[in-house]
Amino acid sequence: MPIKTKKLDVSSTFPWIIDKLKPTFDFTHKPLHIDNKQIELLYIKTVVDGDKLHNNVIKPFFEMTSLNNIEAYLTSLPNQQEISSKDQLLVELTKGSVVIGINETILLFDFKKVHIDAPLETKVEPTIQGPQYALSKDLITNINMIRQRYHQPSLRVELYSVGKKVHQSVAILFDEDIVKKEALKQIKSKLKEIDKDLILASGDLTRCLNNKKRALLPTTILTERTDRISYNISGGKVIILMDGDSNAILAPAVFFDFMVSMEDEYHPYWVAKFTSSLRYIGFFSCISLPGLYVGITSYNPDIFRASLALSLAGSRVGVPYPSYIEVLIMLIVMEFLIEASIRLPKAVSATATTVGGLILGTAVTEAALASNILIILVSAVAISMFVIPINEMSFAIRVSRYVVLLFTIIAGMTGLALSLIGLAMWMANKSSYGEAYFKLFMQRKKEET
Amino acid sequence: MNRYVYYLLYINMFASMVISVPKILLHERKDGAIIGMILGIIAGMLVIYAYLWFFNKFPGKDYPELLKKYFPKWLQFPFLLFLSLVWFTAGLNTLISYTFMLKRFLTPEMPVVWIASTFLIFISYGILMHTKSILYTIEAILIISSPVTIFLSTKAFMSPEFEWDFVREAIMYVYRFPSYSAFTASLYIFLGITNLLIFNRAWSTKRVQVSGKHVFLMGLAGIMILFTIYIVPLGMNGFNNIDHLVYPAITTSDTLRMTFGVIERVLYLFLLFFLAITFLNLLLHWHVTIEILKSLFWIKKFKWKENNLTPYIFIIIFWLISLKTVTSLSEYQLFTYTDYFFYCLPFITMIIIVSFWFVKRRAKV
Amino acid sequence: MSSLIRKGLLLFICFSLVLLSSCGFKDIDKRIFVLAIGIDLTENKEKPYKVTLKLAIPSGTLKGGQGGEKYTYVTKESETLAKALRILKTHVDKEMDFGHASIIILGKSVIEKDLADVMDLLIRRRDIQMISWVGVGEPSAESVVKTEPPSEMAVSFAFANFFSDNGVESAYIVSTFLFDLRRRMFESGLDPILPIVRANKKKTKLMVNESIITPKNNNNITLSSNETKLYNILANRANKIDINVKKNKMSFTVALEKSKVKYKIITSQNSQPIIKMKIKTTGIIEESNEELSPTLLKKYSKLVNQKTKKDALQLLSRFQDENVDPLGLGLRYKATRLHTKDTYKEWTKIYPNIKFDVTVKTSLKSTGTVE
Repeated sequence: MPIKTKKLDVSSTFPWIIDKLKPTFDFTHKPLHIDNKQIELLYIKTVVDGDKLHNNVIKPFFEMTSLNNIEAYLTSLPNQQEISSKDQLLVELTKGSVVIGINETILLFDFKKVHIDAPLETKVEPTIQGPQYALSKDLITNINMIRQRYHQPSLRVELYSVGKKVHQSVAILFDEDIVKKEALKQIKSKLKEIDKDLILASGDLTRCLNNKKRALLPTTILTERTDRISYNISGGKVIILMDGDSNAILAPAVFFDFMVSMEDEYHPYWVAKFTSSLRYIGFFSCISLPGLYVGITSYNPDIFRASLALSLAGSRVGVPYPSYIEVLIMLIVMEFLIEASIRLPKAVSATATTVGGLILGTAVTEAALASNILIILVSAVAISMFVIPINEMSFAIRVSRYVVLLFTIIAGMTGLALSLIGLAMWMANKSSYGEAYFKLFMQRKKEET
Repeated sequence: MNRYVYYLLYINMFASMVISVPKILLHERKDGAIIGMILGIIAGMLVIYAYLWFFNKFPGKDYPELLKKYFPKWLQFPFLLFLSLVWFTAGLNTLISYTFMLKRFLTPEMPVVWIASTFLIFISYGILMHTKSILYTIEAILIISSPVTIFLSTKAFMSPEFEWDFVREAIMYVYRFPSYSAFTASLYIFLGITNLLIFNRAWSTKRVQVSGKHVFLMGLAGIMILFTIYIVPLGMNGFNNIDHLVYPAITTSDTLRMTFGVIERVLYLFLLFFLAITFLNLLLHWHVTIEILKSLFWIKKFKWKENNLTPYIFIIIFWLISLKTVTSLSEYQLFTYTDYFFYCLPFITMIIIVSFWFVKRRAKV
Repeated sequence: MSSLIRKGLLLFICFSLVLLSSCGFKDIDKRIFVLAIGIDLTENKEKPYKVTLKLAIPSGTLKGGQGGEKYTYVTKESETLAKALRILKTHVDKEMDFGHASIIILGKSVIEKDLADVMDLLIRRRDIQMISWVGVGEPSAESVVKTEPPSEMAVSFAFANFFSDNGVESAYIVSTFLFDLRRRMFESGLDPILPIVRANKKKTKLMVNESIITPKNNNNITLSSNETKLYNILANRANKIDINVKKNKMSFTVALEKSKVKYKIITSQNSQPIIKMKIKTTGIIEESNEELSPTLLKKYSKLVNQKTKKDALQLLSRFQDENVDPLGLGLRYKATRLHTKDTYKEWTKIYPNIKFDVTVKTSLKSTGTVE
């Protein structure tokens, strides 16, 4: 289709652009002149691919005979862009486009150079038997990778731009035939409404897309795996990709999506069912074990067997403070460990493991600052937190664990049971872009009652 | 068939396994409980059929809305107010009974106000949720709790200490005039379906289906649960002296023993899982109450940051009434008042069913 | 939901954390667990009840270290049981927790005088489990409670092992739960039966192999070990039973695995009421003083049948003479006839004259590993 270009003329626009961009060192204003042909090039050197520019514009300029030929040639290049306003020209220049002034008309071409378009390895979500390549940091490469996995003509891509100062491009992908229309409408309207200055990465975008300002449970999944993306596109979800970030946002996401790992598709049926139920048990134990400890030791030691109660009492011999302070201290120290291990440089990581294991484990018990059983419990809780495949949910669980613990401290076993039900209620009340967050899907139908 | 309708019914059935029904039934064991139970089952199935038939005609609408459309104004206001009172009392009865039970068996040192407040905090969040979210919560929690309940009942039947002779002795008392208390108590088990009054609006696209098969399935579940309520305490505790037990259901669960389990004394397992089910039951009842009240009183100007605050007034009223009654009632008063409440229930149900007929006639559907 | 109200509520809850002491929060190392309760009657009229409690002292490490469980005992005489328990609380510096009190031992004097009164406290309190085991202590409840057999391991419990099927399984042990005792005490047609726990003088050994029946007419009968064994067979509670058969010079012992007993009460208008009892068992031969041939297994079975029938009839007639009914025959009578006002009265008239018709069917499977 013919590209509409607004009628801007060279003589008024070019001096204006040069004036705006002159002080920066990588701005280049290159007039090309041979015989009686003349064109002017304006571009920012550091973001433009010099080789491509040379091969596609400069060489043909010197090889062609007349200016009209050159104009015809230039307007037939595939990477020509629309011009809408002078400000847009400036923004496009910063993205790596080249402004060519020829015959008093201005043409805009995309000669962007990217350094970061190699697909990365999966770091956050490794699997044993799946593909090991994740998305790259460049938007176009990512869309390429996704399209290669999902050869369906109804896969639509729409481009938006967010951030008043940064002007990052954001692409939405969805399968036109099966996407959930309600969710799509909400996401599109939310994207148009964003008026922040800075959007740094996909995580930031997620926060802006959320309905509530302060939320605990995530309603979108952040992933870097292409197989998960294509799995979700075929399930009717909307994918949001941001330029410069290798994480894609999948929306809407319900609770059960967070407990699905791509391994479930690659293993035999019973193995997948077993690992799946393991995850739910891990989830449950992560939330309730600290509360259970406080409830049993301080409120109702007669729930479990006599021998267990006596072991508990025996292991708490010498601990100077009540059980809930003990639990809180151990949990906070464990949180320190986990937070710190995200930032440890590789040289120090071995030391940290030793510190954690020895000091927190053995020495604390020997010094009677915590009981044996509590150490076992805290390590079980720490490990079971990472059984959950998607990180956002495990972070959310970390926080809600303390809420459950608080209610157990106040009200005993009643508080434990009721706070777990309260958590279920809260999840059931949440809706993720029009989808119920916590609904069990038992009938294999498209439209559930 | 819509499985959420079954849940409405099951929650009430499971919850009444501990709350008041066992004591009333076992009190009447020598005076015609068995015939009363059979009559109650038949009446219960008829009530289920009537409700399903009515709400089949009006998909997606709830009862207050229909009353507003087809009834004169001077009639609907006191009637709806009375209904909300009935549901509130049902929920209050559940709350107080279970609070007393928790105080007696689980944590005797905790003050009653504290236990009741813990319930009330979570209930206050729960009844303000959307109707559909409540159904999702119920489903999720029922899936976890009902296998445990079924397991415990099966365990009781298979226990070597279960003496079938006591049960046979109880059945030998069949030639007695049916007792009204037993009839109302058995009817109460099936009255979970009456929550459809409000919950019908969660299904705007799919109609509640009426067929003999569904009614029969629901009735079958009711029969099994009713017999479990009656037979298990008798078998484990003996026949003569069982009315001296203040809480027969809980004492019966104490007689079971999981030899190889982590929790040896089944009482605690029982208390905690029935805590969940009772909480859901309470949630259902008070959600109906607050929705009826919301349709009656809605003060438009009472806003704060775009949140209408009228429901919070109701919640504060609920808190005050509950905390006052929890501290001032004794166990004996609780039992007698529950008895009187159950006596009124068949009449109220009849009135509601008669009003169904009127509404249907006026709507000409 | 309005976030301000939620925050206010949360703050309110947090401040009330300060009041934790009033809501039942008590750490486990401020509690001490009562493992067994022993109740005796004393001669003193003012203070008739004597209560002994066995308290468990938790040790720091269970493996290595000292090993073995440490116990301590407290005793008190008082006029009511509840008062005794409350005063005993002041003898120990920690809160006594009865949640694990799973053994209750009564003195012989208690079951002779007032079992019902003593049972009342135990049943009324919610924290004493209804699945605790009850037994009679000899020579006295106190001495039995204070026994610490050396075969007891740390944190497990000798008494519990006797009575539950987890530890020792024997046909000579009758185990009675508290709820079972309660329903037997209050039902007509069923009499309570309790095991007798005997401690030796040095308080190092416990023997449980006799039992005592305590009917409502206070006519307590002690059953010897053999009678206890037979009672267990008749009541369908037996696990591993041995029967010794002697005929002429041959004597052999049979180990029976399971036994099933069914009976029917037949009362017709003009004939003698009869109870027809059928006992069915399977087993193998355990010990013999002669060589046995496997082809004669049928003959051996017949001998076992005769012996068992004789013993059973003896026990049943003893029950009849003493007018006790631990097997629940009266209950079965009530359960199989439509209730009238006089059903139980009829039974009390029939019981002294009823005839027992016992048939035993044993099938011996093999002669052991040698012949």
